[in-house]
Amino acid sequence: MTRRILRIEIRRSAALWLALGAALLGTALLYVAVDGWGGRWMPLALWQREYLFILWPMALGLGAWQAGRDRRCRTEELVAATARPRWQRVLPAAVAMALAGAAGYLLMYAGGAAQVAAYATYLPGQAVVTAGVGVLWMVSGVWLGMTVGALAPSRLTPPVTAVVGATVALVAITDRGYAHVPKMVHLLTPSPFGFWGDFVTVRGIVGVAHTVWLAGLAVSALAVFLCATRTARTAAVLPALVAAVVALAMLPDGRQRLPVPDAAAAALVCSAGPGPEVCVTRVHAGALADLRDPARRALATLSAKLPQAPTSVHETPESWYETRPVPRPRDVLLVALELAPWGGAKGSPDELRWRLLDGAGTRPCAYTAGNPDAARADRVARLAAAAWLADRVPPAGPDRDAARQAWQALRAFPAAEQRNRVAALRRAALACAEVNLLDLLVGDDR
Amino acid sequence: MRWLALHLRCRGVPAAAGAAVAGVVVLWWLGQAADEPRLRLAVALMSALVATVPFGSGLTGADPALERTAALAWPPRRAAHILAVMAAAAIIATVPALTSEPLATVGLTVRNTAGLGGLLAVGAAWGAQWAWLLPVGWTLVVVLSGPVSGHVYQEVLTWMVQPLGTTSAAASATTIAVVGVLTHAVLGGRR
Amino acid sequence: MRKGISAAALAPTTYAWAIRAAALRVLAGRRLAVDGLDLSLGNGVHGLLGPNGAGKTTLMRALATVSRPAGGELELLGHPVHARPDLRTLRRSIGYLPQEFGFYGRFTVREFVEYLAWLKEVPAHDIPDAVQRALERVGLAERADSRMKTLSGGMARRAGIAQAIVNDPEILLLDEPTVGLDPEQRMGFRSLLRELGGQTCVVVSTHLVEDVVAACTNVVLMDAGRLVFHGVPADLVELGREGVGDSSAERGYTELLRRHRAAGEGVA
Repeated sequence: MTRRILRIEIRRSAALWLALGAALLGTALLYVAVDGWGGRWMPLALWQREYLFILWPMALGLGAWQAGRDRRCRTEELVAATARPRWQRVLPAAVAMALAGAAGYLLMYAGGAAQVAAYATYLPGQAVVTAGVGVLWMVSGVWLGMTVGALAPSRLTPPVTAVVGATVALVAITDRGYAHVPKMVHLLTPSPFGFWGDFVTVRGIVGVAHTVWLAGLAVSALAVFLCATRTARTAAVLPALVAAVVALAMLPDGRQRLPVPDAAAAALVCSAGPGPEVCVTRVHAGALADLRDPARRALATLSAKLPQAPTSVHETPESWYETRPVPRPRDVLLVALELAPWGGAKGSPDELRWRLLDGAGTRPCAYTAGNPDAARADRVARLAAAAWLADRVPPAGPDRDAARQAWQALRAFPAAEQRNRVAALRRAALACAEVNLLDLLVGDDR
Repeated sequence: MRWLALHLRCRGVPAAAGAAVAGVVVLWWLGQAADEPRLRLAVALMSALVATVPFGSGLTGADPALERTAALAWPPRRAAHILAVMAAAAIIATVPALTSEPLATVGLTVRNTAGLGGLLAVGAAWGAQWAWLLPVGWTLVVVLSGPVSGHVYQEVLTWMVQPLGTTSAAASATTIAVVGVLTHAVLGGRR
Repeated sequence: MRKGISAAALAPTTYAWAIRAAALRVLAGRRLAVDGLDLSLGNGVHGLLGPNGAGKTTLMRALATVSRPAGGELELLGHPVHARPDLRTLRRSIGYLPQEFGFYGRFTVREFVEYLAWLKEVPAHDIPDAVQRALERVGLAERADSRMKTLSGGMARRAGIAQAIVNDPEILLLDEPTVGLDPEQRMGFRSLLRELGGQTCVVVSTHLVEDVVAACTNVVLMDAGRLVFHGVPADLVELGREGVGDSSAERGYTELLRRHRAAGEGVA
């Protein structure tokens, strides 16, 4: 019989609206931002968790609305004369709403996963875990909302609850502006993660800690909702407090410590067959086909025009502002790639070629960070070197004119001198020597 | 005057105003602790939201069918009601700014409360108890995405967080407000 | 399949009256709405009459265990309610239709009555049969799968009567059950009452004196929280030779009230 009652509650309460709304709105929001997660599992999980900041307040508000049903329909007197104790009476509605919240979230994930499964090449288990923990956020949000709706019966309760939830989400999201809010607030919010790139993952203990916290929160919320007496309700808050303490003990302190580098994602996948080796990272393996020809042509250009040219192209997972010393081997051309959401590499073959030849096949160095003039000079010099190698006008962009001027100035020198200067630029960039690359390229001092 | 007092009481305006004031005070206190301008703008937007949304359930009376049988003309009165809601929300949201450094300019708050009030009125045409879904949902999505100033359609969609001078944002806010007032005046609301 | 009869139903009753109140006092808000009421009701259909504000609805609420008595004694089916009772077992045998009958508009009629049956802890395997039987008895079997909010006022009221009888209660409390019923449906309701009065203690609070005379075995008249008259409808009609009203019963009613108020002023 309770199964039939549960079916009645699912069909006739706000549960279906919650599930449908979360699924449709969530999927629409995901696809608006498909650029950020397309074809990769971990960014999908992070985006999914981030959108909980919108779904969670809506779950709160709808839960509060559902809990006010007896007041709105004026059935309070009727059910007061019935035999079942309060907790048995309200349990089917609570279960129905929780199932709906979970279903909506999972449908949203399925919507995103359909795209990723078609294009992804690397599936870390941690991505599924991170996304899956979000289900508990929806469940506990629904039950929290129902608790508030039961404790504060009023017409204003649903909108006020939703707005309060939204404010909590706002404070949690922008922790930079609230330096004195304790770190624990951020760690226990729907998404303490950020968008750190494709090569990081989250340690397993974070998922465990969040699961513990959310299980405690959900149990407490449900218990407070079901209990009728004040002492029972106060006692029911205990699981949430205990869970919070345990979770905080497990978590690293500070949001910056949450991401860890994912070695498996950064492992190289190389092209087969004859010709120079072109490798990309495993998570970007879909870009290999797009990279191969521009890479081989770039290698050919470099070996034709410069001494000690690289013989293979590898994608590097490091971002250029990494301050740790990164090995820059002379015989490998390192390049940074982005994955296009619908397969392939981001950028046309022409853009890829310019990126490969930039700085005569080197990566930017970090010592110019903080010094905009030096940074600009470096960029211009690198672009001019690429123009010299490609023997074409630099592409449209902010540094185009300056680079073009530098390229003209470079071509004024005799051919051997041009070659030496570009080779010197390449050596300096490989070693990350703190010199002005523009001076090196077109300056008068030798 | 008596009619006005009874009308306000039957629509739950005092309780809604109390909730709006309390919410704005809490958010103002939160905003004082924030330094980053984008956060201050977001808190200002939430203040406009929390000042507008509580009036949503009062946009329809307890028995819309009964009210429709009245002899006096409802459309101008309903229009006046929603305009008064926008004005009251704007006043409540800007009052804390008089005490110290404001989170956002008065013009920005007025634009936001007008637009949010319009959304509230459109939602009330479907059901006054659901009216809060549209403004809260849209604001949440916008706050999360941040101000986007690329194409015009992106500016129109995120009109709440655009700076005051942006014409597309002002146009969309005005359009929404006008549509809301007209919808509410003509259609009224449902329970 | 006929409902099996449990051993408890076959055991002899240990109480004399289904409803017994002695000097009962019940508050409605801060007002003492029922003030020193003595009442003993057994099986049968008892009509509860009285002017507005007499305390009828408050009394019904106290009998339904929705309000707790502020003083005096109240025993329902032998269980004393004024002490700390086991309300859960007691409520399984009570059926109540409140005056302001609210319902979940999106539920269908069948779902609503099933839900209330579940709330009254009708055994799970009995619920479908009991619901169908209740719906047929009130004449809503054809509309069983339409939503409650699409029903007219009278049909919604009949759905309320259905949920009150679905658990075959031993005490059935109906507060204004004939509101919105057309004359034909009222006659059907009266025959339902007569059928129920054999094994159940039914208390019907109503303003329609003809209903009381036609269907009730007893009449209880209340005024200002006190008992005015407890007798059979024939006595009411008998008194109707004097008094004001369009029928003998109404004349008897007004005459009783007049005498009671005059006696009260004389004493005071």
